[in-house]
Amino acid sequence: MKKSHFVSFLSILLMVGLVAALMVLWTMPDVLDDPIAPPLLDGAEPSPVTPPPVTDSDATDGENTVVIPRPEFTMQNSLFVGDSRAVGLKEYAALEGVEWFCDVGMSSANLGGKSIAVGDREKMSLDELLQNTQYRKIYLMMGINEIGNHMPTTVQKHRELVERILQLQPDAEIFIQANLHVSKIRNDRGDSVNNAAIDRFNAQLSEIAEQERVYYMDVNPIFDDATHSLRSDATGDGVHPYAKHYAQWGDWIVAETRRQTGY
Amino acid sequence: MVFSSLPFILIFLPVFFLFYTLTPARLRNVILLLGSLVFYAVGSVTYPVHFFLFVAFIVFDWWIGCRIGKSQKYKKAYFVFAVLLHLVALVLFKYVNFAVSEMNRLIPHFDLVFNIGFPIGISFYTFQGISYLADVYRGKFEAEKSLLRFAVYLSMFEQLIAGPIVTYDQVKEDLGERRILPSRFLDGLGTFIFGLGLKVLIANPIGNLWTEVGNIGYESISTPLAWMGIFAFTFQIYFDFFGYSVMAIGLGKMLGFTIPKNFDHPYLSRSMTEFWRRWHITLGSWFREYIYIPLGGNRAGKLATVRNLMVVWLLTGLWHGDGYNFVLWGALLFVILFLEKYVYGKILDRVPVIGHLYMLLLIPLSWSLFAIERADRLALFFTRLFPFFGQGPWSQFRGDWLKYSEQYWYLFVIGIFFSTKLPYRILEKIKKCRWLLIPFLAAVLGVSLYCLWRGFNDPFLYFRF
Repeated sequence: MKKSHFVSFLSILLMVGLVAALMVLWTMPDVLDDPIAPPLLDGAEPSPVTPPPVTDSDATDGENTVVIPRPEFTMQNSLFVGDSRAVGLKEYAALEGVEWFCDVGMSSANLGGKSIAVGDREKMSLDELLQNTQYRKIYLMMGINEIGNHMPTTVQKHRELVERILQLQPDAEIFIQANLHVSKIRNDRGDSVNNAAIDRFNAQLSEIAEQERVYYMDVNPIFDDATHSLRSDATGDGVHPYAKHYAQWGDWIVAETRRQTGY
Repeated sequence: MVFSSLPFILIFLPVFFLFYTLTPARLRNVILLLGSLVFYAVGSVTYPVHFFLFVAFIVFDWWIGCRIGKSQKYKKAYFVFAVLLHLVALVLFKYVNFAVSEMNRLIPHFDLVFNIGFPIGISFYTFQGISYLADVYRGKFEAEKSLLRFAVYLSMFEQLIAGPIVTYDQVKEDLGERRILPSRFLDGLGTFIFGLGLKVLIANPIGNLWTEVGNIGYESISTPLAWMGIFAFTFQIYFDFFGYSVMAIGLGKMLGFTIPKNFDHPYLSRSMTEFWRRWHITLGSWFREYIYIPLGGNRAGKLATVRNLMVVWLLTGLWHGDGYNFVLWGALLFVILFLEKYVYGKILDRVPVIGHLYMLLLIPLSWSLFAIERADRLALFFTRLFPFFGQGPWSQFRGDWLKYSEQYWYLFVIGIFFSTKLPYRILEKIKKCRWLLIPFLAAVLGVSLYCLWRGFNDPFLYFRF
């Protein structure tokens, strides 16, 4: 073989070897120094249970006590009111029997102006919807889109929302959802969207729940990392979890609903 | 500073051009140099070292050029030394961060926190510096004696950050003397505005779809949505880079320079070979002129040609980014080009329909290797593109592709339209009528500025260069 051919051949061989080596490195899995964080849905502490409204009926007619059996647990006739995370739950959580009044960017500030088509109905506001459809359970999840606003005003709006719902649907069970944390990277950007503010607001929501005697649920222990931020491997943009987590979140909501309502 | 940003358009440009146009001609290079250095300084404010590195290279390259010109005996030594220094700096700044993060990832209990930052424009000014020295070395032209003129060549802000890669002979004359003709200035301004529109009104919005697909997570997207996503990326990367190059050309005209064209309707290509003569043209020229031909090109026999092609394409991949996927993308391109050259290229040329269909698939598929850096994510994405096993074509959210089609369909139409020659022919006609052109440009500028002000997404993909 001529020398120049040999050189060419050798060079080609070297380059092929290099590409092969790079492919090996590229597909090598990460070597983790620390044990893997506990999988989602394990080891989370249950959130404190607010005293449930009385659902069991013990009717007494003089001597005999009649116990009316509780209806079977069901998520049928439930309504979710919320922002883009509620949209995510709607699209990816496969919750049967649930209806959704949700929109990207929704907040208590713009809720009044929203006109959404729920189920097969025409577009209408939340107020109109609640006036003509009775729900058994109503879930509220908003706050992140107004976290930069004047907090006392926002809290007051949320309180008024709960009171309005109680007024329109006195038989419904209401579940206020805590707002999801953002990831550490997003948090460290240093603007109004940060976990300290979210925690402050969630605490206010918890108080509203106590005062109005409705339920409060906080999913954050499921998705938090050690710094109480949304796990960075669970999110692409630091604010919304990947779609695959919405199914787990949905399951958690159902399980937590059962737990808090004594099922 | 990014061209498509309010500080650049509303502050830097007006202030700079006020000085530039009012200065007597003999001082314009000084103003241009100062303006470009300010431009670079603002961009490297987080890592001041990068600024000094840049200035050092300007002076160094100018000095080496002069030495090569003067010393017959040592010119090879000077040249080799300078090129090596450039390459060491480029490799160091481009890959050291990646190397460290890979060591952290793969070596147990190895955890080094290390970040020297990435000097903006280093990939471009390194290549321009090397091209200058190579041309002086082989006697294509004489070394530039004026440090000022050379500094302007290497640093002029319109082509510093993202190209086009300009060789010295392309601007040599204009460096000496240029007059600012009002018609040329306005033509340049219009060109700049058009490029801005391509980036802000097409690339950025359609890029949002690809971002959303990533935020959903590839395991949760349907097959139609996966294809929509990768086509969105395909349009984003084109209009991003094409828009930026057009802005550079426009600014060049305003300054009095002719910046070479960098794109020639690449998505109309019928083969990958043709594509790389139409995409990032100045990069292809650089590799051909300074690597491929010096290695022998295609004149030294088949084996050597294959070797030369391999070298060029691995280096091209390497140049594009710090990550395995970029080099492997280069390797993939080599394989495709090899097959076109020696196996089936003729069919693509002879039957245009086959060529276009072939590229319709190959372009987005090859970009997916460019767009997704991790091997596991890329594999996952491919199972969504080709859902023949396991999950099947649908996701939990059955109507996902419908939802996003509703939101993005018009951007795809615009993207396809602006990939053809048609809108540019129309633009040529509009240029002749001032009463059409000015409202059109004003609209593009106005809407672009509005989008920038509102902060709609702006990832400039090629900015890592």
